[in-house]
This record gives sequence, C-alpha cells and structure tokens, in this order.
Amino acid sequence: MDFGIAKTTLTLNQVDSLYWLGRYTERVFTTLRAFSDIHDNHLDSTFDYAAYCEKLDIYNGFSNLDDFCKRYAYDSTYASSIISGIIRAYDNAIVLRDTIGSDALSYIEMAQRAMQEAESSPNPALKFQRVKDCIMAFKGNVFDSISDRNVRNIIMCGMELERIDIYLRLSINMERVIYECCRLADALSQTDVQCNRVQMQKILNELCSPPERQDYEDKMILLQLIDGLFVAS
Amino acid sequence: MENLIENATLINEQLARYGVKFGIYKNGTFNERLFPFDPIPRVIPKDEWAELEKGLIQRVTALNCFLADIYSKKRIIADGVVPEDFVFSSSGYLAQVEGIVPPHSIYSHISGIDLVQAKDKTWYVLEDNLRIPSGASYPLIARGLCRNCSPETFVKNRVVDNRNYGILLKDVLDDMNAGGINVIFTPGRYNAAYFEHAYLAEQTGSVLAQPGDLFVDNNIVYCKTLGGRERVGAIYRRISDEYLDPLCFKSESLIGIPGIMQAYRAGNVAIINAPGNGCADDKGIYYFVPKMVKYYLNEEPILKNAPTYLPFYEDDKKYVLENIKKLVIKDVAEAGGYGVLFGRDLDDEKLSEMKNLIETQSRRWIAQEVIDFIDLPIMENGETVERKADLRVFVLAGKTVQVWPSGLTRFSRNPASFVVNSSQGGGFKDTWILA
Repeated sequence: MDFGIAKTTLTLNQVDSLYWLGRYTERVFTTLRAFSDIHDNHLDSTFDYAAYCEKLDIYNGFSNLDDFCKRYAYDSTYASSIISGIIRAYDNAIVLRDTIGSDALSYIEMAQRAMQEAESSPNPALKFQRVKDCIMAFKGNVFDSISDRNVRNIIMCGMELERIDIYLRLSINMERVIYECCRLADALSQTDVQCNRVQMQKILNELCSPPERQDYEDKMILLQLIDGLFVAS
Repeated sequence: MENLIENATLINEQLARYGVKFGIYKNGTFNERLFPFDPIPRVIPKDEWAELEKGLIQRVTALNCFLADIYSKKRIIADGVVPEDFVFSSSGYLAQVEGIVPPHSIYSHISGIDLVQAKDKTWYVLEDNLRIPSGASYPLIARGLCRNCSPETFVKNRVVDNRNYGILLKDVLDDMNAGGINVIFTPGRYNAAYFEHAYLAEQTGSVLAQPGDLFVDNNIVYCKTLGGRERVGAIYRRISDEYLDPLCFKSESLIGIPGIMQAYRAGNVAIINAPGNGCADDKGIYYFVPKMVKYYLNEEPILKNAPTYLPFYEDDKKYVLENIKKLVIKDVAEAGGYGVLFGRDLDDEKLSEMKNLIETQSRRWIAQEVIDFIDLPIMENGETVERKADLRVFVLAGKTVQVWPSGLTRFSRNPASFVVNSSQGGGFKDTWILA
C-alpha cells in the first residue's frame, strides 16, 4: 500500500527545483486569482492594467486592455504571463518525480493543460477555476503525502516568499502579510536549507513597525530583505 | 477484454495525466509526445511464457559469461568460437574496461531482449539490448491505470501482476551496491527516455541524479546533497558509455562524472549496466549467441535467433549478394530502428550501392531472413486492424536472474511497416502473462 513518499536524500539541484516549484505554483495561483477578477471586470467595465503591471514590476508591452487580457494570460513567449508561470512550474516539477511523486506531479501537468485549454474556451473562467483546483490539489498532496520535512517545507518556503512578494506589491492588507511571514519563518525553521536567519528577523521587525510606516517605500525595503533571505549570513 | 477496449479513451487520458511521454528530436528540435497506447493486450499463455522464461535466463546468463570472458581471459576467442574481429572492432568494446570485474561478475543487470513470434508460434530473438534498454516503465504504469479504468477485466482474466518491477530493480541495485545510496543517473529531462528515468527513481526509491550532482573524491563517488555529501554505492546510469567519464572516454562530455571509472575499477561503486556491454549486443555478435550458450553453459539454446548471415564469411556473403531482395539488411552500428533496409524496398541503383557496401565493408552489415511475424490486433478509429508488433522482455540479473513477467509490446502504426520503434511513430500495448 502506498502511503506517499518518505525520502531523505535531496540533491542540491532538487532543492533548487523544489523552491522554484513552490514559487511558480504560488505565482500562478495568486496572479490567477487576481486575473480572474480582472477578466470578469473586463466583460462590462475597464481596468487599469498599466498600474497593475507597475505594481508587479512586469513589462508593460500591451497595446490595450484586450491585448493585456490575452497576452498576460496566454502568451508563452512573454516571461511574466500566467501560462509562462505554469510552464516554469512544470519545468521544475518534471525533474522532481522521484521527490514529490507522480500524483503530485500529475496535478501540475493537469494545471498546465487546463491553462492551455482556457485560451480557446468560450468560458475561460471555468478553466481558470480548474487550474486553481489543480494547484490546490497539488498543495494538498504535497503537505499530506510527503513525510520528508525538507521537501514539504522547501516548497512551502517558495510559496510563502512568492505570496508575500505579490501581496506586498498588490497592497494586500498587512495583517495578512504578517500571517504569511510567520508561516514562512515556521517553514524555514523546519528545513536544513542555509539561509540568512538574521534577515528573517529583520523582516519580522519591519512588519511589526507602526502601521503608518508601511507605505509603498517600506514595502520595497521588505521586498529587498526577502530577496536576500537565501544569502547566508 | 471488451470493457478494457471501451475504456481506451479513459486509459489514454490517465496516461496523459501522468505524463507518460517520450522525447524525440526532429530537425534539431526536442518534442515530447504521448506514447500511443492500444488497449488490446498481447496475451501469452502460462506454458508458453515458462518456456520463454527459461530461454531468456539461459541467454542472458551466457551473455554475462561472454562479457566476463571477453574482458578477462578471452577463452572464446582463443578457442575459435567467436572471431576476434567481431569483438575488438565493435564500437561497443572498451579497452578501458579490461581487467575490471564488477560485483558478482554481472555485467548486464537489466537486459532488454527483443523477440518476435512467427505465424507458426515460434519465438525468435531479434536483438539483445545490454547497454541501457528502455521501456519497462510504460507497461508498468499502464497496467495500474488499466486496472483502475477497467477493474472487471482483471476480475475475469487471471493475469500475472507485473507491478513489482520497481522492487525487482531495487533488489538488483541493492545486490550490486558497494556501500552508499542507490542513484539513477539521467542525462537530463531532454533525454528521450526521461519519463522512464524519473518514474523508475520513484519506483525504486533511488535518488534521480543529473549531471553535476555526482562527483568523485579519492575514488569514492558522492552525491551533492542538502545534508552535505552522501556516498553512492550503485549507479543505474542512463547515459551511454562514451559520455560516462570524460577522463576515460570522450573528453568533451559535459554530462559525465569525471573519475567514476577509477572508482569503479577500485570496486567502490557499481555501475549498472556495466560499461563495455556494447560488444555483446552488437548486431554482428548476435549471430554467435547460440554458440555462446553451448560454449559456456554446455546446453542447447532454448531460444532461436532469426536466420542470420554474416557477409564477413565468404559463403554468407555470396548468399546475401544473391538473395538480397528477400533479406533485411542491418547496419550493426545503428539502433532504434535506424539502419534497417529491406532488400525488396530498394530500387536497382540502391541495391547496387548496397551490394557494393557489403562487398567493401562486410563487417558492418548483417542480413536476416524476413520473418513473417504475427500481426496483433490494435484499435484504430474504433475498428480493429492488424499490425506488426514485437516484444521486449526485461531480464534482471542480481544475485539471481529473473524475468519480469511482462514486457513492452510495441507495434507499428503504419500497416506497411515492420519497424515498431517509438522514435519511428510506433505505439505500445500491455503484455499479459496468464497465471
């Protein structure tokens, strides 16, 4: 009977792929949540896509909102598109079959296919829902079936870092960011990955500073601190 | 069986879900393709399988004796059973391996023996694959998915369970292990058989290592891991000999493990399959395998070779040149269905060219009678049609030699073709051994 993977040896390349698998799956999941709303608004109103691009620091080469809605979602040659994110997630997952298992990998495979199908679908929102379902199933599988704490928590670190990054950029409320930061600190503490623990403490300190300090500039400081997290102290 | 066929779409959807693909390079571009699966299994009765099993164990045992002999005393050459030209001029022969004795003197741990069945039900060996034969993962994963999609089929039919391949393979790795972890070493995700490398790593609990993950220090192979470095005891390598160690073979190899051959020579790591096996699965050496069985085991060969001619011998050359139109000509240096020419398909100009090549480069070619092997039914657009098919059976040699009760049945999707290789557009089906 298969009760999931209990693996203890991780190559450094696998560690790298686990981290980026976490980041890309979360990037797709979170941006797709945002994009689902944009897509819905686009049906009968408008949306300031230029401001969105600026916030996420992604290249705005779109000619109009239609172009944005199409290429931001489906253009695999555009590095910041959602489809590029799921392809990068797959690129990292495919080299981890022995580490995360065929079942977890299959959810990424299905998410990629659903995203590809969305482009020609008359009701893409349902396909977006399928992508999100697959990613949720992937997360559930990873956290439920993989007993190796490093595998679980390195993916978790990638997801949390990405989530904090996007939440800060999209000005999601700070309480939620603090919550995600605590989850990141918890996940980090359960891995053997070398990281800058001092930096983690700085992040928590920044977050706990008075609310009036938490303007856009301070968020940028936080993002820089996050960038330096995996540079050993 | 009808229920299995009715659920063919479901099974193929499941195969897609689990990424059952193979890679192919065409015009310099890499593409991944789903491996087309046909739901109608090849069925082998129990008694027929028992005979095949005996023959396969015998054949692989003899081939391992041959390899042990060739890289040491070379008795079979001294005794005039195999001409030295066929050994030392083979591109698979590696002088660098001379004198190395692998654990338990096993060279071919995983052998993929290609068979066809003639219309009179006789099985013939077409090829021995002793280097890095691939394909076991496909029927392995397909069986589980077929059982999920059509459970009643497996209630009504008594089929030997084949889902133990991972356990058998792990046993071989453990048997050979020189101390340390088991590793499956892949050249990377853009290799044609990458799905198999990754899936077998999962099934055996081995670490899937890629170039750069392994290094040698003081004749010990290590894996760079999160916890530092971990000693490697057995490597099921899925890269060719010539790329394995740039210090020993091709110096330009960027995907090898520098120094691994020294570690192997020192007995500090097992390499599975052993380097240098190519001299025993050379298409020219194939001719001599029944002679090896007699020579090393003093037994009559149970399995037959397809009737084969070596233009290297004058009598055979004469026969080949006179009968070329009814023969299949194979370039011994090619694999994967390439370099196979049917005399009947060649026009006069090509025939003349071929004859000239046989005259001038006789060692390079073998010729075989075309076996009219049985067609198997496959589903095509909702209808049953007949297509050529072969069978690759996997023989695993650790402390004991075992035949995996299954195999990869590959079929041609082109009704006019005998070539079944996946790289040439073929599909696969499950192989049932009846209990």
